[in-house]
Amino acid sequence: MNWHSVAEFAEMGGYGLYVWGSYLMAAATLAWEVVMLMQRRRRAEDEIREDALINRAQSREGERRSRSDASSTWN
Amino acid sequence: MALHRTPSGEGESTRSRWERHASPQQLYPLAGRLMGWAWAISALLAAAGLSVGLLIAPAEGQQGDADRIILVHLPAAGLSLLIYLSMAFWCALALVLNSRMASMMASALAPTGLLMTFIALWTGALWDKPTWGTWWVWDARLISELLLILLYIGFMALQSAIDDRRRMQRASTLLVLGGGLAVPATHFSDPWWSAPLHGASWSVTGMLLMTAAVWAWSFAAALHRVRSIILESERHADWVRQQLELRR
Repeated sequence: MNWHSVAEFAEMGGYGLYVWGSYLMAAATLAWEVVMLMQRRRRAEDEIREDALINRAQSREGERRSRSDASSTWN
Repeated sequence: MALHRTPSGEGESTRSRWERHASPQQLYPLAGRLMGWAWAISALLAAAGLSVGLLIAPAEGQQGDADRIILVHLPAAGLSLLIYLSMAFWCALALVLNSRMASMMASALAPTGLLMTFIALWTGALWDKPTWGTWWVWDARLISELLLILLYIGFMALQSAIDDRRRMQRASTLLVLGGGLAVPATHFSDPWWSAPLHGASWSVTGMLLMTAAVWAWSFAAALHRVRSIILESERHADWVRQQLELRR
């Protein structure tokens, strides 16, 4: 360990602004990537769920129509 | 006739073998398993690398503690180039084998490459200022990073601008392969990799750990993204709904 205090660590031998500016921006960029990854994933899942809902509604509609067709032939 | 049949027949079987083993349906669960490991390894390595590089390694370079910026800068810069080269590899494979999985991998790598290039440019400027007294110099390495960020942006813009998948793939492959010839040539013209190796052994250890950490990060991010890309393009397939445990 070559730091004697937290303040000294933060100061980085006078280069604190440059060093921490680098580290913070790198951390922020990576955090942003994680957010973007999660958003894209959620959007893809939502689209699939939406499609599935539409499909289910359509097949239910189809069933109802075929049932009413069947009943009309019986009548 | 017989002469013609053999090579085309072999080409067909290679392609179909590739398709069988490298279909999106098989990549999806594999990417999911690898992704978890890659995130964990990346976090561990980054924690180790940061403790070694920031806490243990002494300030030994000419620029004192400003050299600790290199701990982030060099791994990101190296990766910005490496991701580009692997994108070129996947694009070439997509072109030769007409493989969808390969072009998906190329698309999945691009945003991570863009962010790594951005980190490299940003930290580079913050290192240049106290070291050389200026934020920016027009030297080969910096220009190649600038070119790289433009190529990444161009690739992603093409991907979102062209709806027709085949045309989009061909255009972005041309861009990547064309740029791929120019960028590494200028980058490697400067022996940047020898610079940090003059430092103390602790700094080198930290650097190697951080390099491994960002590699694992890029693997994880690209795998996570390729899973989303697969879901986007295969959303009408039965197995996708089964993956998400949906009733049809």
